[in-house]
Amino acid sequence: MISYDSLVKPYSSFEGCGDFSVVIERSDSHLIVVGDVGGHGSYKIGQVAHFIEQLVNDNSAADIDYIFKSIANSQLSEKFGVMLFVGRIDKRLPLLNYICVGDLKIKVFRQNNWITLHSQNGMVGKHLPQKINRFASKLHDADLLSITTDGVNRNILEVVNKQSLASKLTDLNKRIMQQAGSKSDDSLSLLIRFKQSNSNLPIPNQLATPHSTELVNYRSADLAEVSIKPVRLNPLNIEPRNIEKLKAQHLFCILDNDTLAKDKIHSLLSFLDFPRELDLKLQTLILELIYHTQTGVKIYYHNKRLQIEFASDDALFESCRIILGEKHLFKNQLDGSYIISFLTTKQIDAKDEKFAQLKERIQIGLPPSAYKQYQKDKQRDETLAQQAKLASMGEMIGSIAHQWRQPLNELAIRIQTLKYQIKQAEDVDKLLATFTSDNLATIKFMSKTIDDFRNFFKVDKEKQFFSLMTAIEQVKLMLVAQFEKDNIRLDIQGEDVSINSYQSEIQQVLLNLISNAKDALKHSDNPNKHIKVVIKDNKVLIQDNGGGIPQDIEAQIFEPYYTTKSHGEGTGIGLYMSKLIVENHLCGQLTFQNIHAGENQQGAQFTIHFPDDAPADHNNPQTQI
Amino acid sequence: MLIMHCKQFQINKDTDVHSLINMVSYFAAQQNTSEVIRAELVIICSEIAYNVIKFANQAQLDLQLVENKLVITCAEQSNGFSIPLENAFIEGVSTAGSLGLGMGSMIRMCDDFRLCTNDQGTTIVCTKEL
Repeated sequence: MISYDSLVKPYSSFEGCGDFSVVIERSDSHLIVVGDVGGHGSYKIGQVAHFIEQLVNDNSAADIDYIFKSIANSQLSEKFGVMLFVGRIDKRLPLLNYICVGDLKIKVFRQNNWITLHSQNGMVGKHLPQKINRFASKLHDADLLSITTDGVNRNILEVVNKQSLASKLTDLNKRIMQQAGSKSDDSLSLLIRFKQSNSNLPIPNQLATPHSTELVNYRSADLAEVSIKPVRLNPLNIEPRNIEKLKAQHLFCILDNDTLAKDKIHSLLSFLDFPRELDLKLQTLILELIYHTQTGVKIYYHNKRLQIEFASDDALFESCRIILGEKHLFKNQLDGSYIISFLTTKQIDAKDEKFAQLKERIQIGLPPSAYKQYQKDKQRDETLAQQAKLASMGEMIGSIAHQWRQPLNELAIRIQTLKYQIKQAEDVDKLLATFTSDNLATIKFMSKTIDDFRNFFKVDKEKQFFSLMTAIEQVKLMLVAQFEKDNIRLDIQGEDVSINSYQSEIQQVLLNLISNAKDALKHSDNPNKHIKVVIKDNKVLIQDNGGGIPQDIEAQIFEPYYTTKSHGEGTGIGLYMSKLIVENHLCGQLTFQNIHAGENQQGAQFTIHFPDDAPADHNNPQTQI
Repeated sequence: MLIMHCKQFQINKDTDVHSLINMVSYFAAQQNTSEVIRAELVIICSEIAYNVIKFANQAQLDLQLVENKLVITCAEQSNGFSIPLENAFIEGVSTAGSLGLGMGSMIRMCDDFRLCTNDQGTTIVCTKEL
């Protein structure tokens, strides 16, 4: 418990006063900040002091290191300079933790003696010491703590005496200012009287139920002179209560031995607004549980209830009981696992976007800064995937138009010539039957083209067994008309194999690689334009004799938006997306090399490496139909 | 003020802690201190020394008898406290997988306790009236 009084004597006006103090009482501590902004008698100086007061108020829950750094890093501090004391008196422990830089005098009057506490030379913002010292000093009952700025320019020992120290703090401060307050500077005196209360004694656990331990008073002749009577605590043998576990779908994350476990726990607990002290205790406890248990620690959250599940032995459970008490400890009778359960004040919906992002970040195992980059990359990849799909669709629509042109011409020619053929036909019925069947065959071919392209864009949700040879044949069918037009031969070689994978995605990649080979050959002078697709073990090789890829651009070909085609002919995302699909979705590899493609001919070879679990059976290929 | 410089210790392994505890216990007995004070002195010294072993690898520990008070000064030059200082004293908080009850107990047992830490080391001064 503290009582305090702060008195400021400005040089000219309170608005222009650079000396300030802030004392904030929190549930677990008292925060004390005293500052002296460089200069006096100026409205700007007063504004800086006010800004720092506001900064302290906004961050009063943070630790003193953070508050100190926030003030030190502010531009106003750098401009004007501040002498600064930031300290905290914990309510449970009679201890003053503080950081003090600058010419502020800190003294404690105790048992008729003045004790000077340490500080550091320098000035926050202008001459910050290289190493910032953090101090801690034990406080005693009835201690009087005095913090004064340099405007109090006489030694406080000369001003106050033992008799005056018994008076009220306000009267004492007035006396100090009258006798020691400077006329040429702002002055501030903060007096704090510390009173040790029961809250300063160790409380094993505020959450513990009153019947969990049996208190035994212990006395002996030796102890009569000692003021503190020790007690022995005999913990009773109480069986943990049963609790129903949250379901598997409410599992938030599993923590095992990883370096980010502490950050993960803290991120979740601060998101759920856990008090700082409990947050720290749970971090400590969970890290110990992770260290000692083989199966890791599971964290569940649903509908305001947080559960921490671990499999352990009774000794470890006893440690949990000491730290947390009985109230939050349970055991599931069905599987024997131990559970720490809390009811949170904050209600979070499982669909809450921020909660979902936190869950994703923790499950992936990324620190916050890296997660932001991950989200940006994910967004970019989704955009690229969409663009790639649109580009593919654009190409497909072009292919459909190309494939339909000839059959539509055929239909038009047959319809136009029917009139003349009927006049010359000997058997009109036979002519009409032939006319009908030919046209129906043409229409059927056009309809099949639509089905082929529609199936091509269907997204496979699950892996399926399919014939690799058949899949390649289907891609060939889509491009055959263009190959004939450009006089390119496409051969498929190797033994068929059935693989367990995503057929449409593999066909997308094949289509992209074969189309690239076709585009490379289109403008080539080579009279024997040739593309080979070879199935070999668990690889598919796409080879062409289109001259290969120049060495100076080899490293860039898989980069997004990189293309050697002219504007409008290529988007530059085909190879990037193909690599992404093969490596991320199919768990394989896509590689490239230049090859000798025959006598005095150079070419390119792209290889799709399937993972080892993909191929099924070389001797028993299954067909897709 | 009468100062008697008693002993300097280098703490860098478990056996050093045992030596320290034995020395303190013996010294306190020589000064005719009560059992309770003796026990508290042992706890304070062992708490400081074990924290050195856990976190700092080595340190120098001085015992000085100043009038009727034992002043224990421990200085180490490692990285200082890895967490904010005010969190280090909260019961239940530990960065070494323990219960986190030692520092608070030690502070309560000392008559005076001062600490200074930065990223180059920590100095602790505990005073206990005999």
